[in-house]
Amino acid sequence: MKIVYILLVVLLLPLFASNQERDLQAVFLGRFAKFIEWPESSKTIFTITLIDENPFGNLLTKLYSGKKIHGKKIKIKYVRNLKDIGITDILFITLNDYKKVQKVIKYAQKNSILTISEQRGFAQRGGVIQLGFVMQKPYLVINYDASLKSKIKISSSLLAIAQDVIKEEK
Amino acid sequence: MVSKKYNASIRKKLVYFFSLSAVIALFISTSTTLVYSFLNDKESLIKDSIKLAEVSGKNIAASLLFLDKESCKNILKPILSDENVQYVKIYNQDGVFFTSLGENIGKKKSLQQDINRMEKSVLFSIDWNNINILTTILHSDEVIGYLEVHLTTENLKKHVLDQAIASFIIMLITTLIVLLLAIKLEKVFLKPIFELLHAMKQIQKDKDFSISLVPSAKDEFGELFNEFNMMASEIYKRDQILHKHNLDLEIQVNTTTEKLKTTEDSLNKVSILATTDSLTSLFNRRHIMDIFDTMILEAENEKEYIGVIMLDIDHFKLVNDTLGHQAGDVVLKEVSHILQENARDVDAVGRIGGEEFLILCKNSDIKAVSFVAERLRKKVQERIIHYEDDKTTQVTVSLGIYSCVPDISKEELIKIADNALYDAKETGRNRVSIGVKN
Repeated sequence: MKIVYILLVVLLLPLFASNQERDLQAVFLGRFAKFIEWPESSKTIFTITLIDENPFGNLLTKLYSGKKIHGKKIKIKYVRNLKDIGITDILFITLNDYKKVQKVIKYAQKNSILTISEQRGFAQRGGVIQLGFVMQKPYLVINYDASLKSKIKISSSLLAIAQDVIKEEK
Repeated sequence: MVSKKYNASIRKKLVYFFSLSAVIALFISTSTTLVYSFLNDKESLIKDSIKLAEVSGKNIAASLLFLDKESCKNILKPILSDENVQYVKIYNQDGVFFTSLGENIGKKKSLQQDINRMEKSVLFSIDWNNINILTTILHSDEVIGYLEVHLTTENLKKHVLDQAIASFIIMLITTLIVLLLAIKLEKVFLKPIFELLHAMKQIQKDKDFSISLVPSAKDEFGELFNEFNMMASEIYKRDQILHKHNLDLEIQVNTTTEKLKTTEDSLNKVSILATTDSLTSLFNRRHIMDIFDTMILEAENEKEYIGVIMLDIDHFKLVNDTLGHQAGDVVLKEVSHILQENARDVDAVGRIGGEEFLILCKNSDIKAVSFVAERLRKKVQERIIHYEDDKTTQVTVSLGIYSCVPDISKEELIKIADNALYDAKETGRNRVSIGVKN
């Protein structure tokens, strides 16, 4: 019987951990915005867009409802395709298709969009922030060069906590 | 009662004054400096720490928001290089403990009380051993957490203690220098005063104003010395004049005294001549009568007896005629001598005629007068008188006596005594006869 309990705990633990990490991810999305400076614009809405799958359910809506980022009201948008992205400030990418991801990254760089994904190698592929978790602790990889291409400025204090910063040596 | 300290010499007072002034001045300045330094250091420490906390707070904003304790610690590590910082604690925006670094950390679960007390972005508390600073961690004008920096005042106290020790040593050295300076100055200032004092004592002892002080410098003491010399010189000159005057006066006094003595001697001689009989050296008639007047007055006043003896040498004419006038004079002198010798000290003996004598007996009743008279008679009778080499003769005397508390005149008294003398002559001579008042 004991073996059954142990097996249950071992199998369910990553699930609990995963839920907790997801919650943190949701919180961190907004917090990243505090360390990013976008080019000046006349936008009055701060938009966070999720492309492809929505792993947060209605968590983001709950978290950011009635709150502001950089003095702007927050809008959460869920899209499936590149053409549906439109105007956004943060784009959380859950796409698995490599080619689609690259296209989305290109689009984001052109439109000064902060790209965030939990996918491995995302930053190396041109994404700005790769947000992972190791032992329930955030593991950040930031592509500084990509941020420059996107014409967005990342605060040095955010860079300071990143485990890896991709930056071309000059 | 005057305290001993007030009796101390100027020398000691001066040294005490200089030393005490220096010590007090040094103590006040050192204490002020130390207190000022301590307060200044403390303020600087607090200011620097607040600044450090604020800067650190900005730096750890990302690590706090992204719950990265390791990064947070890494960023804050340099703070601990400050020897005053004991530990640092970070709390999230709700005041819940996030992470910490440093020594002796007691985990705080909530900062709610402190947060409620925070009126500004900084809250600090100070006691003798610790300084605690709590600052808000702001990001984009939003409080995202709290940073607590705990400092120990040990280094501050040690620094102040080191300063105090250094100041104390400096104070000691300075006091020593001031003491030495005071002693040196005391010599510079007091040497002339003591020279002056010594000179004044010397003058007092020797009464010699010819003394002169040599000024060692042209300062106020030099002036004082010159003035002293001038004053002493003036007094010396005056003394000389006074001395000369005194000498003159002394000579004058001596001369006058001599003159007065001579005059007095002359007067004495004149007086003796005026009151004494030249042959017998007894009182003469006039003087014995003056004495008689005085004695009567005294006896009247005191209600005392006064005795009168009238004495006459028996057959004196025969002595003159047979033995010669020279022998007569010898007899007169000898009888006078016997009378002077055998009368009492209070009695007055005078020659009032050729061979007649008057003896006045003070405070004597008839019994005492009889006794004196009888003694005189016997002594004259017994005396062998040498009037010429080996030639001798003997004489007798007749005496008339009387005594009373005077209620009659001098003349009446003399008359009563004289009548008694006549009676003694008539009844055989060489005897004493008592007078009777009619």
